[in-house]
Amino acid sequence: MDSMIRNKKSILLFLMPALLIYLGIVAVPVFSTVYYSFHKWSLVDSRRFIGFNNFVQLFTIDKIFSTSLNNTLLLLVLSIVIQVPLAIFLAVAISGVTRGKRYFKTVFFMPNILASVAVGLLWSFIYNAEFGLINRLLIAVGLENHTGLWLADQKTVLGCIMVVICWQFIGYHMIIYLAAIENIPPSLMEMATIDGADSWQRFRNITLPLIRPIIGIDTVLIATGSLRYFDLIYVMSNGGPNHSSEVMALYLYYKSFRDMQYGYGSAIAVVLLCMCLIVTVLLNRLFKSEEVQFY
Amino acid sequence: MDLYMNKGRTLPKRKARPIQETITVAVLSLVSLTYLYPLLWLIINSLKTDTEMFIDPWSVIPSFQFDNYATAWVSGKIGTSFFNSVMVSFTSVGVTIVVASMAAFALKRFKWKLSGFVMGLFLIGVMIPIHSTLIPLFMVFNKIGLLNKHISLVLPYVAFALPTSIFILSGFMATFPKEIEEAAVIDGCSMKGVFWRIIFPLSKSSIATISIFNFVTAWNELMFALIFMTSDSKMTLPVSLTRFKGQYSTSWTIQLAAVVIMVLPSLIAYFFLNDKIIKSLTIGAVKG
Repeated sequence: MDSMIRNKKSILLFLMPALLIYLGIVAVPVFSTVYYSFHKWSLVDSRRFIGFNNFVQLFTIDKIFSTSLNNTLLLLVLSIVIQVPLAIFLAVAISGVTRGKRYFKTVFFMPNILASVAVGLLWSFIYNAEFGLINRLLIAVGLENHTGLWLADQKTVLGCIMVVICWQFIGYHMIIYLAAIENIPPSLMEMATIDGADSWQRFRNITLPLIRPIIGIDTVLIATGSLRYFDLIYVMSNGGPNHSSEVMALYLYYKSFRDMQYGYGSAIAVVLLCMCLIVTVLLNRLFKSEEVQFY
Repeated sequence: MDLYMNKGRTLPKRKARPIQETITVAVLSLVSLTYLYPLLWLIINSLKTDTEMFIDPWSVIPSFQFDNYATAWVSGKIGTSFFNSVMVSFTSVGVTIVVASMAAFALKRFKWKLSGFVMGLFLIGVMIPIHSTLIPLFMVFNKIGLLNKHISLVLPYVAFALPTSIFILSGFMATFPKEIEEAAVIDGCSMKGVFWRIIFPLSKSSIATISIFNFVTAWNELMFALIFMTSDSKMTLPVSLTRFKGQYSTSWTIQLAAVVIMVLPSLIAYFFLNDKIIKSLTIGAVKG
């Protein structure tokens, strides 16, 4: 028996398919990308080592890259600051409802199963200046002079995209918090109620400390997810107008597969990868610092 | 205790609850409308003519222009893309199920020194954005002629599905008692037999979980598909939809119909399986 569960040949046999696919498609290409990022390489230039030049150009000369970096970081911060409180609010609200709980859960989560491409297109119809719901609604309530071009306006485009991001993903985070809240022993709440704690005090002193580890996990999820935003923005604004909604993933796509600058594109990919790793480590450390344990 | 409860401190609260709950329900219902109405609007307007929609996008009863769907499906090539998406998604999920459960079996049911290390190697994958693999994969697939072949989508979909899938499956397999293998081996079963006849069937709830979220991911994926599938006959639905915008830029209702074709299967599946889908899409996040 023991020899069978230590048999190297069987282990390899079961492990190999997954390991080969994973190494070949994920691990090796990551290292190639890092390697390419130190090269000048495009459709017209053959590959040539240029050290850190790509990175120097990215951070000192390339205005569009700095816009995309700023927008990415802005979306990251906004995604966390807006989605976490709203998701917790919705979760707390739903956990207190006796009837219709399942309906609300199901409806709020729904956009998460839809393709971001479809969601983006749906919302670009809603934002459409001529027949879109937003402008038509504003006209209907007599606010004609507040109608806008929305996705076609440099000033409003990012805000409009942020709304869609929240619309699509808040339900996901709400489910995570709801599960955490429903794990809190009801006896804790009852005792607090008997001691005269009102609902805000119960939330502040029981719910919040107990779901804190989940807030940590969720913040990492939102942060790393928001660094990867591509689909929604690609279909809604394509980074425009005039690069005002450019984000890193989008810029990486254009540099690599439209301008065919593979070396430069790889450098953007490396920056994105590093940001994912740094954000994960930083946020984990931030939330690990103190964990509250009851009972 | 009972006496104390009846002293009145908690009683007024009990009475106040229904009002508070009514307000909560009202607010939540209002929010839920912002989720349902856009979809309803989309479906209704996809059945109108362009002029009809421009004149009154609010009207609830359309003139039922099923032609919009026919045009999108046939001349817009949404039909072809639909079948491409079905092919790619089912193949990716099928391969992931087999490959990931075999790996989880090797990692959890065998005894070997490096199992922890290999597990860690797979788990790091959760942090790696697909963006950092695009250029090398494009180069290699281009060189060996895999662009515009569905395998160039299946491979990355499987590869990026592996970390979470292996994590969930191995967590589940670790809960089976050790005696399973012993009993099976005494009965003359090989490890291959143990896997296919016992462990794999026993893991079916976890396999269902990973199938659902991997299917949803593959069905909706845009970036790989946009770069690797450039020919009309090979595109998946998300790519096709992004092209559609340019192709039918003047005919809005046909675009709306195309979007409906893309979301309707998801919505129907969600209508019947919402609990399972919600669970399988969130489980990886919380356990990780």
